[in-house]
Parts: sequence; structure tokens; C-alpha cells
Amino acid sequence: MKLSNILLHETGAEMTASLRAPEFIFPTLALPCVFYAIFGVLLSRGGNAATYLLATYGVFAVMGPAIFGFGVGVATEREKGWLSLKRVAPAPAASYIGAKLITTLTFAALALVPVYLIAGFLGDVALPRAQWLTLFGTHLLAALPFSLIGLLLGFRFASGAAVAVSNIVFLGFALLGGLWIPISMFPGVMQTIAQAIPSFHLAEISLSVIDTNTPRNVGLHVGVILAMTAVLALLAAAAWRRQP
Amino acid sequence: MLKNTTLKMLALTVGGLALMFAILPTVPPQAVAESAAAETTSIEGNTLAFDNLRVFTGNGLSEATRVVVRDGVIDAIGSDAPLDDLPVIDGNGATLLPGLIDAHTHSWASAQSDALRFGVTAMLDMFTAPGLMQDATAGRNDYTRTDRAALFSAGMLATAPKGHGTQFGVDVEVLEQPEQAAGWVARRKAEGSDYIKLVYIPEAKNLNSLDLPTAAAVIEAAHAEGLMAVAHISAASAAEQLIDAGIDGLVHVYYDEPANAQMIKTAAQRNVFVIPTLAITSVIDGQTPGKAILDDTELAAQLTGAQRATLSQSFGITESHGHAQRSQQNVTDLHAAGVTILAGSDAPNPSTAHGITLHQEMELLVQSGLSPVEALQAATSEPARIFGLEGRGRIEVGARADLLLVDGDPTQDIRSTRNIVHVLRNGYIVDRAQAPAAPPAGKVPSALGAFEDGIDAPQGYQWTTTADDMMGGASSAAIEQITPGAGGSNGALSVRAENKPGFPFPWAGAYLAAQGAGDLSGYSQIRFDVRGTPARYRLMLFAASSAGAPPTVEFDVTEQWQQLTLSIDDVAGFEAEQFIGLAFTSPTDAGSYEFALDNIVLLP
Repeated sequence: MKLSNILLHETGAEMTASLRAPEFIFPTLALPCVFYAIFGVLLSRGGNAATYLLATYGVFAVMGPAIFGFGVGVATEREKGWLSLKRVAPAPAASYIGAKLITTLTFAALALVPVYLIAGFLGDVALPRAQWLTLFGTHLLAALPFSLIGLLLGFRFASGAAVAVSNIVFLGFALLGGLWIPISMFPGVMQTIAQAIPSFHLAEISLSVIDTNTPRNVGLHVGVILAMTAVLALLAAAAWRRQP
Repeated sequence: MLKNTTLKMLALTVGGLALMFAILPTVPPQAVAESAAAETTSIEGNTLAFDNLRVFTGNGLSEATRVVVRDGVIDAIGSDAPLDDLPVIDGNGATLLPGLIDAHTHSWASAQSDALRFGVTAMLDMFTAPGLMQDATAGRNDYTRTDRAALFSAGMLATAPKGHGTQFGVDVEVLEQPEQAAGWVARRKAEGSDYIKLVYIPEAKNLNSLDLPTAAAVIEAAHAEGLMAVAHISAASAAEQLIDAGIDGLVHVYYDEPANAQMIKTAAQRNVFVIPTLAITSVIDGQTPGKAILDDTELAAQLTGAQRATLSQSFGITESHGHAQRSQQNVTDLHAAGVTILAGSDAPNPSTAHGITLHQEMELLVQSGLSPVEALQAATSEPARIFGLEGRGRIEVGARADLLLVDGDPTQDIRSTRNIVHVLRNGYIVDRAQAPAAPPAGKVPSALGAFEDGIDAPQGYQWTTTADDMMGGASSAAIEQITPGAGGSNGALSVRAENKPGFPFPWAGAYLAAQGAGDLSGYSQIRFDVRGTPARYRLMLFAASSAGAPPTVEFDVTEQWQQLTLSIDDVAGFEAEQFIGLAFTSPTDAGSYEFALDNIVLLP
């Protein structure tokens, strides 16, 4: 079989598995839009809060599928010996990771849909179409570094621990990265800590898409994210090779 | 089969996303304020062109994308008007509006320049001292470069002895009977009043009002002189009586009860217009619209000290009596019946400010049922039409190039009028920049005066007199050292104040002037000995940023020496870091006052 064919089959299996366990996928899809509806729209103090928070909650929305889909999924499959089986199977490793990645991106896209619809129709957010599309692309790409983090967690922890650690990482990144509350409202120390967290840089990149008036060093944020992603990819590759 | 699952899922996702992006609300790309501003700061003259923008004509959006201004007059509107080699402001999708017209203000000091910086290019004053009016309205029809909005004014108002309007200290010629009306109106016309304003509040408990026959006589006399008559009212019943008496317009909306349908119908039939002033009605209902502006960092950065000061003041009302809600409902009813609604701020009353509050008022009108386009008309073409302001309130060939350029589309979102890119007055770009903030000041010394060996003051400070004559009033003051002082001390400061009407808030007294700004923020109290003509006196605080009525603390004086300690903490509208002086002054009532001060000390 050709690689693309294998990949499509693997992805189908991956998606079917996810859809057959909706209790895992549903919360990651529902949580961001519920949070956004409450904090971005209902409790919004007017102004452009709904637009501002759309940028940050979009990052929040893709974090769930990425960290949990990879982290918990890989940990469980590794524990059950499925990964060892995969390694001896005549399918390349890339198709295993690729299938997971396509599935994650699909669910990340689906997690963004309700958030965007709430923004547009309940939060009165209106953007030029090019900005909607750029924002969506930015949010979707934001899933990549989180997927790598999820992958690392999956290799490092047993399935039970992976759930707990993923939750801590997920919530910690959301809060400390300024996804729930604008980073400018944090004390100075926390603003410094945020610099080390990918979600902060991704939020700033997303904000730069919708708010062109506030000066932001977009190049720096993109550079930091690319560097972080490269390091995470190297670590993930090393972890894959080190597997027992 | 698994392969098909993938393809189906991906197709569904992509299709769903395409559908989502097709239906999500969109706006045209935003104009980038910085680039537009940077390109145009070099335009010096009043001949220029706007290109690539939306044009709100005063009536509605036009198809045109280009407006050419020559010598301060709109010369061409269209999409292919020749640009020749004119300097061009690239609107980049922004919206060009006629300069706004504020239909209810009270103007003195920096009112006209504060208003202009927020795009209000003409204002309709609804009571000010005639002397101030004549200066402020001068040159309004010129096409020269100016930093002031054009002013049209009622001048003095028609009110009863001790009626509304007499409490501010302006020397008001009051009316008591209908026979006085004709002469009164003729004198106003001679002074230059553009229209006649009267106060009719028969329901008021603590202020007198014209009676109905006198109010009707004023209306009749105004019409006989060819002037419009407008009225300050609060009650629906009063509005009804004046509409029957032929009033042309109401400068507030009534807020006591909904008016009956018959009255609204009559108002519509007789073309009576209403300037609801919803912002100020919300303030007397305990709300603080000014705070919302001060809390908006982007807007706050554009305010002068005078604007910040009035925005942070209040009437001291904290509970709601439903006035705000009823006034909005009344606007809804009037508008639905076809009564003309005009936008007016009633600035600089507490929690309002010249310029910016008109933007808030337009939003309140939209909340009361006007469409954004109707709210914009209420602040542009409609007041121009009603008050006969030729060449204003419209973008049309031959009109005066008093213009407002804003980011976004205010016909969709009324709040976007606040995203000001440029204001043009007579075709000249208005300098909207603020003076840079003053450098940090040194701490004010604690001991301000013991008056032992003369009129002593701390280093860098000086005791002098102050009175409203410096602002065009008629009051005066004199100071000298007297002996002995309080508690047997060597000396004290004696102040003689002659308080005369002629200014909105008269004052006369002793002034401690700083040579530069000082920091008073470390102090919370001021203690001093005082005796004098028994009355309620005032301590006024001045900051470098303040203009208009200074923040004031009142105190009672008796014939005997007494030591008073006043709190100067949290005085609304006072920026303690920019302290430039303080004054002990007479009450606002006219009269002669003699008082003495001693041992003035600031306390932490």
C-alpha cells in the first residue's frame, strides 16, 4: 500500500475510535465554547472584549484536542502494547503520528467552530473575512506545538498519570498564558513567567491578527514558537526512538 | 472503509468550515489609523482631497468614495472627481462625516476647543453670560484656521426670580409678568442671542418658575422678533402646556412620566423638536457616564484636564428614581411618532464633558430606538436644518469643510464615531495632540501661612487675591495683614471680597499661588483659623490640568475665631499631583464679605 493510503486508513481508524468514545472528545469540544460564551460574551463589559477573548479562547479551544488526544491516547496505547505492535507492523511510524495529527487538527477545527459562531452571532464580533480566515489558520496551527507536548506526555507517563498531568498542563497553560484573562491584568512576575509558555506567544500572535493598533512584536513571538516547536519535535523524536 | 471514513470526515469538516466562514458577520477591512495620520500630518492648507472612504452625507451613506475640499469649502463629491495634484488623505475604508453639532451645551473657557478635538465643529449653547457669548460666537462664519468650534447661543435665559439659571451667579434679568416679555426678548436679540431659551418648571419644589402666561408671552415675543423659542422642562405636563403655547423645541426630554399620545401627536404635527440630553438625565438618576469615558484608556488619553475634571464630578446622587429609563422610553415614543430628535450633551455638567459626551449621547439615542443613521442625523443635518445653520451638518458641494474622519462604519456601529482619525475645521486639519503631561512636581510644604510678620508664604508660593474678573466676571478682592491674629498671635490675613454677578460661578478671595506645579497628594486635610462675616465660605483647589469650576470644599465661618480642619482627600475632579494653588473665597451669593485667616497648615 502506498503511504498516503495507509495514512488515510490509519486516520479513519483513529477518527472512528475517537467518535466511539464521545465521553473523551465531547468535553474538549464543549469546554472552550462554554467558557467563551460565559466570559467572552455574557460577562463581557462591552467594548471589544468579545473580539479580544476570541483570539485567546481560540488558542484554548485547540489545546484540548491536541494535549489530550495525543497525551492520553499515546499513553494508553503504549501501555496496552499497541505501540510495540505498531513498531513491528509493516506501516511506517509517520503514518501513526500523521493519523493522530490529522485527527487532532480535525477535532481542533471542530472545537473552534462553536467558539467562532458564538463570537459572530452572540458576541457581535465582525471581522473582515480575511481576518476570520487568518485567525482560524493561526488557531489551527497553534495545535501543532501542543500536539508535540501531548506526545511527550504520552511517552513519559502511564495512562492514569497522563490524564492528570495533561490536565495540569492544559489548565496551567490556559491560565498562565493569559488565555482566560488578559495577560496585562497579571502581576509583573506572572507576566515574566508567561514568556516561557507557548500559549502566551500563540495568544499574542492571534491577537496581532485581530488588533493591528496595539504594537506587538509578532516576529519575536513567531520566532519563539518556531524554536519551541523545533525543540519539542526533537524531544518527541528522541522519545520515540527510546521506547522499550 | 476506514479510508472512506477519513475522506467523509475531512469533507464534512471542510464543508462545515466553508459554510461557517460564509455566514460569519464581516466588516470591511479597517483603516489603519497610523498610516493615514502619518501621510497627512504634512497637509497644512485648507485645500485637500479624501479618497477611498465611505461618505456619510448627513443624511445617509453616499455612493461616493472621494471628497475634494478647496479653500475650506467642499468642492466635489464622487468616485471619479479629479484629484489633480491635491494633497490626498487616503481614508483606507474609514468614514467621512460632517462635523458634529452638539445641540445643547453651556460654553465658557476651553469648551469650544475641547469640543472640536472630538469632532464637534459647531455647538448650540443653551445659556451663558451675554458677555461671554459675544466673544465666543465672534468669527463663526469666517473660513480662517481656528481651534474653536463655531458657537450659536441663546445667551441669557428667561427665568423667574430665584428660578433655575439664577443659581450660577450670572447676572440674569428675570421675568415676573407677561408684559415684560417683549422688551426682554428685544434686549436678547440686541445682545446677539440666536434663539430664546426659557425655563418652565412649575412642578419644581425648590426653584421658582415662570408662570404659563409669562412663558407663553416670551414664546410669542420671540416669534415676533423672528427667533425660535426653546424650553428647559422636566415634566410631561409642562411640555404639554408649552407645546400648546407654541414652543419650537424642548432642550431636555421630560422624565417624570410617559406623555399622553395626544401630546406626542400634537408635537409631531407642529414640528416641535426635542433635544433629550439622555446622558445628563442618567447623571441625575445616579449613573456616571463620565466614568465609562475615564475608564477607557484610549479615550482618556485624549482628554484635557478640564474634561477629566467635569467627567469625574457628580451631583452626589447615587440612587435611581427611574428617570433614565423613563426618559429613554419617552424618546422611543417621540421618535416613533415622528418627532425630530436632536443630540445634545448638556456639557459641562457633572459626569459630562464637551465633545466626548455627544458621542455617548448618540449611543444613548440608538439605545432608545433611533437607528445609527438617525442618531448621526440628530448630530449633523437635523440640528443644522432646525437651527438654520447654513453650510453645516452636511457633506455637499458648497458646504463648509467642517468634517470628521473616523475608523469603521458608524452607520453600522454608532460607537465607531469615537475612533477619530482627523477633525477638519474650515478645511484645516485640527491638531488633536495633547500637551505633554507636566513633569513630576515637588511636594507642597506643610505650613502655608502664619502671617506673623506680613503676608508670608512658603518658598515658591505667594499669597495674592483672586476673583472671577480674570474670567470676565465682575467680583474683586483685596488682602492685607492685620494684628493681632488668632489666639493672640502677631498677625493674620484679612480678606475683603466684593462678590458681583457676571460669571457662571462667581468667586472672590485670597489665593495661594504656586510658581510651578506642586504635589499635594501626600496631604489629606487642611487646618486653619478663621473668623469673618458669617456665611458659608469655600476652599477651592486648583490643578494645572483644571479649567471651568474648580473643585470646592465648603465651610461655615462665624464672627469668632475658630479652628477648622477640612478634608481635601478624594475631592472629585482634582488632580492633587498637579497642584498650582488654593483659594479661600466668598459664597456665590452677591455681597460684601470680610474674613480673616491664620495658621494655615496642611496635614497628612
